[in-house]
Amino acid sequence: MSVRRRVRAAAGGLCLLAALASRDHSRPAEAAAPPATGRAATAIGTCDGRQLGEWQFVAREQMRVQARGRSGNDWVGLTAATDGFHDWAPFDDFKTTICGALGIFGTFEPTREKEFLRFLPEIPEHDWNVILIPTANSIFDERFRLARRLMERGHEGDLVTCHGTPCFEAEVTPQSRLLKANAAGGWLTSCRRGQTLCTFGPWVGDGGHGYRPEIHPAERIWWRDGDRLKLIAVQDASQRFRDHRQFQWADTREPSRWHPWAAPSMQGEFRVAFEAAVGSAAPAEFLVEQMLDTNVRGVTPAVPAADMQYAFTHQGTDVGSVRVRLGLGATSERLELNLSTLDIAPDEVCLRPDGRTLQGYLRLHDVIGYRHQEGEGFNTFEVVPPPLLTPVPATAEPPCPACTASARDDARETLHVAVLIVAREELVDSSTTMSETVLADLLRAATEKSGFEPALARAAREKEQASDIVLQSARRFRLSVRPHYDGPRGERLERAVNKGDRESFRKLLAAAGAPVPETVQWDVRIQNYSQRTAEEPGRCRPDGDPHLLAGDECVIDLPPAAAPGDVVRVRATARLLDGQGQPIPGSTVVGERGGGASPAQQEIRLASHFIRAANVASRERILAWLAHAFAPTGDLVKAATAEDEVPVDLADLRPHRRSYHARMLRHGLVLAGVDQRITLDELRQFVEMAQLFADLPPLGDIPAARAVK
Amino acid sequence: MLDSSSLFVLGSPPSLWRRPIRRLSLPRGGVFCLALLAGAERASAQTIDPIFRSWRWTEEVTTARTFGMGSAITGLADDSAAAAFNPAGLATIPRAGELQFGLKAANTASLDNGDRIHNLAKGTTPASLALRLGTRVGLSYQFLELRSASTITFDDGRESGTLKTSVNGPGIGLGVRVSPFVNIGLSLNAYRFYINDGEYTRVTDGHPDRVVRFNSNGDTRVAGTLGALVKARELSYGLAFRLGRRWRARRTAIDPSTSLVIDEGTTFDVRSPSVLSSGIAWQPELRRAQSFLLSAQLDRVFLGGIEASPAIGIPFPASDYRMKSAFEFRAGGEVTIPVLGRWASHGAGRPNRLQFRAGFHHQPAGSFVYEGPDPIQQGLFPSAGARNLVSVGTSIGGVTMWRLSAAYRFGGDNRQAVVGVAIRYPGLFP
Repeated sequence: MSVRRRVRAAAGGLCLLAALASRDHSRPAEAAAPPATGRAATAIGTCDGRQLGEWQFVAREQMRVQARGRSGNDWVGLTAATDGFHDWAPFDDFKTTICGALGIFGTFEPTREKEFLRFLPEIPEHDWNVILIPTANSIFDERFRLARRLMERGHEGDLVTCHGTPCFEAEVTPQSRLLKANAAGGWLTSCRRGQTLCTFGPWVGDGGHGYRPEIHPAERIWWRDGDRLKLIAVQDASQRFRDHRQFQWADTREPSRWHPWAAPSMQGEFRVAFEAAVGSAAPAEFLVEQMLDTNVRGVTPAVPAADMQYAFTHQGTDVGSVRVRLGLGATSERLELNLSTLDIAPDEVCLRPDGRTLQGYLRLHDVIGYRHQEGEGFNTFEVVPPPLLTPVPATAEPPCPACTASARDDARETLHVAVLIVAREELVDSSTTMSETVLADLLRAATEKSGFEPALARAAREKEQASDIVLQSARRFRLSVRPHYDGPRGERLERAVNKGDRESFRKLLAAAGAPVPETVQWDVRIQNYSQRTAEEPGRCRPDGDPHLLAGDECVIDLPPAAAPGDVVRVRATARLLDGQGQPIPGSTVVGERGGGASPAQQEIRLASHFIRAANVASRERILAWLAHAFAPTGDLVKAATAEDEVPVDLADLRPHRRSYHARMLRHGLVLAGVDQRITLDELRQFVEMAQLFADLPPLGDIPAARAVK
Repeated sequence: MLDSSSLFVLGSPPSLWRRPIRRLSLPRGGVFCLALLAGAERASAQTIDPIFRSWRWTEEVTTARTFGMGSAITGLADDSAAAAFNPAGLATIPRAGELQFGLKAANTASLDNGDRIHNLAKGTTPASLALRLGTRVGLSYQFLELRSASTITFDDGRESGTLKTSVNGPGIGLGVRVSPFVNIGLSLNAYRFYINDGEYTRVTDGHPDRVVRFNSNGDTRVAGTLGALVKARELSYGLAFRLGRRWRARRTAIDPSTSLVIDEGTTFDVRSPSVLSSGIAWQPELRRAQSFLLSAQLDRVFLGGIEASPAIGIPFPASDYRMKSAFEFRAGGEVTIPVLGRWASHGAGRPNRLQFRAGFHHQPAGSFVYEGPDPIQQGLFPSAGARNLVSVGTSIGGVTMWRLSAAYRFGGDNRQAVVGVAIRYPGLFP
């Protein structure tokens, strides 16, 4: 007998033995259900603390589902994506999961008002806009609050609000087949408003909207529909995140595992948590139906059969089993499953220390997308998991067909107006200073905390080298104000605002029954922190032609009495007034006069001095200084630069929370350094984030930024 | 080739016409090829008037990016210039499409044989609008200049004159992705041959004794390019066949001293050679925004299909004038360097990429050689050498939306500058 034949015979014998062995283990289950067509037995260990805590978190906070990237697809890094017109700056090194209640579900398609444009083929811009209100008192809400601190100053109005509550957008451009299937099947629609959804993807700031936080592209989305879990893995088809040349490479280096966020062969997985009692006669049973898939690729290891039973032994004793039945959903275009593209199997199964229960996940691993045009892929599943031994208390979420959401979408019926301010420092003194006194005064102006002068003065000295923090000053601020509209005809209003088209602006507002802003009213307060003077009124002097409204282009000059080394803080509030001098309300119900909403206004805080952050080295020095000065306990720098994510543990969330505080602070420094300046508001946010890292409050007590920059 | 005898089916009794139809039942692809080959005519004949001695076929893409890479595009075919050399690439242009146009500067060159060629300022070719239709199909509308508009000033001491010609026309292209990595394409162009000014005078003993005039017939011919492109990760391979066509023109000659008509009017042809083109391109994926690509292309130019026709008043047999098929080689490279002064949100639409290119093009003679014994004709139609052309180019623009490019080519008697603009959104520029 040749060697090859001997090997084959031995392998065949082993398979036979394995089949016989697994048959014994699964015999009790077969009484209740048809026998599984494939079997496998695995020895498992005892769960460690990390496994227990992570499983609990996934089961309790993420609707039993965990989304992960694989083969480097979990890494986002520091490098922003760009298409030359917009950029998306990362807030975290890792792709992030955020769960929350669906506030708005919308789709965006570029308008084609000009007739001739309709002859052109469609631009691949059919976004899903999944707008979520992060779950209250959760790490998701904390991430959102932190991200809001990193927004551009004067752009609070760019935040999306859901009934007055700030919310964020998870955005993705699905492949066209998924768009159609979703619309036809009513999978993800606005009728799920209020229902909890989770999204996974890069946690970024959208530069087109003052770096407001979003998950973009949202590559994994899941929700519960009755006893079923709906799982969507989707590769973004907007052609914006798939090539390394579409990234705004700055002076930072990425580790070798970095690749474009939505590059083809996008590898990742859903993991659905399960638990089972040891010695249970029936296996924990999963039913997995593939609803629709396109451009999915082969995986390793592929599932051997569509009906598998997995038995688990612990120290030679049978402790339980899991059965996985795979099928095709009614919407699938396949006639039979392509097993070579499916890696669906139990993962990280372990016996809990109590010895009575085991826990684990069902892994649904996929590789999606090809390099060619329209090669973007997606994969959708419905999973019926086995019930948990201790069900998670959940609010009743009616399945979609029974949804009772109002047909009137509030966001569409109400016209919201916000005030955006763009500020630029001018008359910048070319000389620099490393004065600790100036830095301490700037810290006082930034933190606005009275009674902390000694601590701030000490913080100003907490530098490794005197040259770590270099300051520069400006004597003038140029402010531009633009009203920002959301709601009916919001895009057209935005275009009129951007063009300074006063006539169209008036007509559009008149059609909505909304008041027409005519002027910008400024309230300017100036305070010299070095001279410790009281706040004094100032003036924003109109400069140049107004863009749209009287007073929307103006400059604030620092008082001549302020010495060059004096730290002067400016608070400027812009309000919109109508022709009669009445404040414009922040929202108007279309078709109804009045409204009584709070006035549309925005405050911005500026200072005579800013910290220079010209390159990666200076940003690292600033991070080290913030760590020494405001977070002496814990290693903020190490946490901020770690290349591995700290696992989440429901029993003790602090290490995980600290790690993303640190990373988001580091990312904020990159974002702030775009103009090579760390300004007053940015400094304030960074100091507070460092303090939060050092002294984490309970999740319910996470402070909101006192003013978005 | 379709035999004209197959046309007898028209008007024939039903019993007869059924059979040929069955015999013609071909695979769909075969019908496509036959349709193309049906245009491949018999060997045509180009006049041996000496003014045509510097009239050479130089088909090339002059869009600024491709020009800068020596026009080595068959294996690359990643922008709308593909419509000219390999329309299979149209299926790979990102949605929504691309608009490309430019300007080719005028230039004048003195040839070794004493002729002067003045290339006119024209639009670069192809000027194209490529659109993606659906998931697998790319469509283009293009205007192609098959042979650039030029004026030849000819003076051999005995004969002198000018010849101003061009061959150009509009067309459409179609690229289809037939599998994830394989694309095929076809472009059809309706070319018209223009002789805007064609006349030379022979002077004997100080007196003009012959004036020869040339006129185009207004012929428009549809020519096609069939291409395939395989894109496999970092490498891509292209194969294309461009079908040669012929256009008729008219020649007349008189003796001005006697007003005697020497040639009442004879028809001659000009013919573009068929070309079989193969190319390969390599674009490795680098880790950052930099990128580079290399592209090479080898063409077999069937110049041998262009035959000479006798001209009344020229006492040499046409068979003494020949053109030989030849290989044409092109190679090019491109380097992309990011220039990131500002983030997009702080300066939307500003340029953030700089590209540099270089290319090499070995171009065969493409004009008649006299192989007979007459020393004067040997001097008029010498064995012309191939040209080695070197091009350099640069672009500035964004990763998407706009790119402004320029290129310059030099070598032998050729000096050519082009500039161009390409617009695409939201797809990434190559």
